[in-house]
Amino acid sequence: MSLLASASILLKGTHGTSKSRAETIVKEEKFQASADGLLGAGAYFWAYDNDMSLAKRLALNWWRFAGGKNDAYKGDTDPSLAILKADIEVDSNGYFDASSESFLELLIKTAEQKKILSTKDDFNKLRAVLVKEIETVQGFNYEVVKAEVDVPGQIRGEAGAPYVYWAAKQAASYVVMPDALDVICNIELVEV
Amino acid sequence: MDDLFKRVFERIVTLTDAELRERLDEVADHPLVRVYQAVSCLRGLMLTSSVDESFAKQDFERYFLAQSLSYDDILRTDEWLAANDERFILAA
Repeated sequence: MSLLASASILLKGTHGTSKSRAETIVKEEKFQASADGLLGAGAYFWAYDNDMSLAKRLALNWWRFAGGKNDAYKGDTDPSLAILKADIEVDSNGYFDASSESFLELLIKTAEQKKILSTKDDFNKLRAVLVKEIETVQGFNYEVVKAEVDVPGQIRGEAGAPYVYWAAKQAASYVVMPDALDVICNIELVEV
Repeated sequence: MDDLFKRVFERIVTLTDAELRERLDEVADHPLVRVYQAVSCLRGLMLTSSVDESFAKQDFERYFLAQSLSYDDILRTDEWLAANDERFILAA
């Protein structure tokens, strides 16, 4: 993450998808909101700063998971792997870090107080409820939320580089909200 | 930011259970919820051990035999598996 000007933040991420979808995204120079995908509306990126090697591995794993187990790319002209990289230029007011210590403290404290004990699903929803409540109190909505999520499966090449697993059982992702997809720019295919 | 979070906390904890339930249900399709659900589902698939080439046995072992897991972790996982039977059936 870097500051562009006083009010802007530049984020960088990778995105694993099918080749045909990637080609459409690159051609149109934008991501399209789609509510029927595996993740629903919005766009999702694996965060990186300077070196995208881990973020590329994560993108590949996501593609394996989405395509292999969930048929996400069924019917695509070319379902083979493609990895995109993109910049996300967002106003600092439009960016929220849901992996920050202070937000995690709020999340856990609220879950404890409201006895969110039944399912992890409710806990996940509580996270979004809190973000929405923060938006309500502040009077504006976030365009990009950073979230730490479990690494999807075994990372390619990990057997020869176990430190990747030791270092990254969870990885940072950027969740771009469906009505803010125009913050994504400089979309490029990267070599797989 | 601390004041902001404090205000948010106070607003949420004053909700009744029914009001909170409504709020939780309202965000079911929120992208932040969906991304965590997807990853939970991923782990659920591994736990079912419905093994294929992408999610091979070594994935399973990696999660269960990793040095970072204690015996207590494994016991807790067993309890969690038992409590979430329905989800694994769906995932498998």
